[in-house]
Amino acid sequence: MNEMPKPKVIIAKLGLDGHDRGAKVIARALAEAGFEVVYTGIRQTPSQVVETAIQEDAKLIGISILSGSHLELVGELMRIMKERGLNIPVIVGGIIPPEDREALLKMGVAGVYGPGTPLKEIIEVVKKLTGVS
Amino acid sequence: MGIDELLEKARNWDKSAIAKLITMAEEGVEPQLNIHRRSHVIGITGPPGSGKSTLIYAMARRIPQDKRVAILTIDPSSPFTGGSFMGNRIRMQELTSRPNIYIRSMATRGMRGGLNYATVAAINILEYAGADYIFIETVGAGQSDTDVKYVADTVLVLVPPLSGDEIQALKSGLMEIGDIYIVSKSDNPASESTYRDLLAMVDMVREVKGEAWKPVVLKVSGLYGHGVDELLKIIDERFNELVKSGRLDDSLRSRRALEMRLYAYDMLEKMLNEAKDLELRVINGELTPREAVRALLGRGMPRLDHVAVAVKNIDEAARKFRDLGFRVSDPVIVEGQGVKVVMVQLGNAKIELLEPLSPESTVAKFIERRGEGIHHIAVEVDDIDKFISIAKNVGLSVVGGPSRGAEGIAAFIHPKDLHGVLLELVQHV
Repeated sequence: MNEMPKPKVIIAKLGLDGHDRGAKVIARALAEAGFEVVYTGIRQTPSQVVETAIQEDAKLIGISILSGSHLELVGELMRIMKERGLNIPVIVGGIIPPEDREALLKMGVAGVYGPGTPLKEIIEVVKKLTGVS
Repeated sequence: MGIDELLEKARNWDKSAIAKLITMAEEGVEPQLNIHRRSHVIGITGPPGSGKSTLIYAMARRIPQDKRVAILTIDPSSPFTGGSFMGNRIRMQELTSRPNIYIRSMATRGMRGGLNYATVAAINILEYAGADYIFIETVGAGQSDTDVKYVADTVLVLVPPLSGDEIQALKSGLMEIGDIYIVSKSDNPASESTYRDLLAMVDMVREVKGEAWKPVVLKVSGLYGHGVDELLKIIDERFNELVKSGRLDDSLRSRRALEMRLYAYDMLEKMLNEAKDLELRVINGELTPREAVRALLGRGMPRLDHVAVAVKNIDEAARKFRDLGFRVSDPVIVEGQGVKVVMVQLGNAKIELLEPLSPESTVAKFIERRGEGIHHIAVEVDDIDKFISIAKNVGLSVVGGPSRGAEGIAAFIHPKDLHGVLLELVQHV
């Protein structure tokens, strides 16, 4: 091992959405960058994702949604996180129409990253949000 | 939140507190836990893709929900980046929200035996938290994956169908550690012949290991749930048997010993990473790889023991060193060598002052011939006989020994062979 392990992060697919190529690529890229990445697999409920983050003592949640239900599902996720006292950054990726970005950010999401975002940018964002220098 | 508060919450199966304690353990914190055995620690091992996660899922979902179930699932860390892609949860996510179940992914973080010290610490924490079952899913790396036997009360070895050739390979590693051998994916028709191969193999190994070694062989499909109830029944019976026979503490003892060993490996790994200078000297050929390791551990290399100085008046010499602030011993007469000796203590070596007792002593002759000054240099070696034979092999004359003295066993290499240096070899006993 050449470096100290970096914080653990969760990559999750929320809702009825089986398109997980992007989520896997992000998870793999973060592992390459030295993070310990727990991938939950597809069709997760918001409460499953919150429970996973708690049990793993994760420092960040990355959500991938391509189904169009991002406002409902991410809203629910943020609500359950608050209820369970889980205060860690959430970032969202996938197909998010520009007019919904602001709504997600208002919910407390730390960042929204659509298709074409360079992997390096995602890695830098996750590093910054988890306090890795 | 302090560690005591976390421990108290963990006692009540507060998963957030358990999670934070395990993170602390991964970061090197060592909580002092008074553990009373109550958990059945079950190790699940077998090649990658043999169905370990799916079987754990199938077992955990059938365990009554008034029992606390913990699952530690281990994935490899990259030796290059330290990162890890952990996907074992995928097959268990349905259980994530059950109050009685706690699932944690752990990365190997550089350890090669499949477990690291933090895994063992996590088992301690989970037992302290009152888990009834602790499942440990290993990385699944074959023969090197046998550490789990030191922490588990029961080891399940999974053998997927169509791995006939692999059974041969399993013989020396996994074939020795299983309490229950499982042909996984028994929904596959090929599992029948794998089952028969496995039975034959167990019979064969039993001939060597003796009749007391009685592992169970089972066919199970985690996916369809075939054989899982029977497996759980066997697991519970085994646990009751371990409790009754008082053998449950065996694995607690080996767990503690393993944690020590794994922590030592981890420290060694860190020392190696910091010893770039030694590595460079090995690469450049200045040290052999083994010399470098012994140097790293401060062992094996000859160490300076003392430098001896021949003097005419030892009281005067001792006073000078004392005046300089050194710690100086009282004079001792050594009749055999015909000298009076005073030791001047240094950090990790000594200066030995020698005054001849009579004009016939070798030290008197030394002073007569060359005047006062350094008489010999003494190095401490671990194995004086070996060192002497090496010295003789390279054509050096060894004189005056090996003989037993006050400081241990000593011998000398003659100065005519060593550029005028009389080299004393000492092995302290």
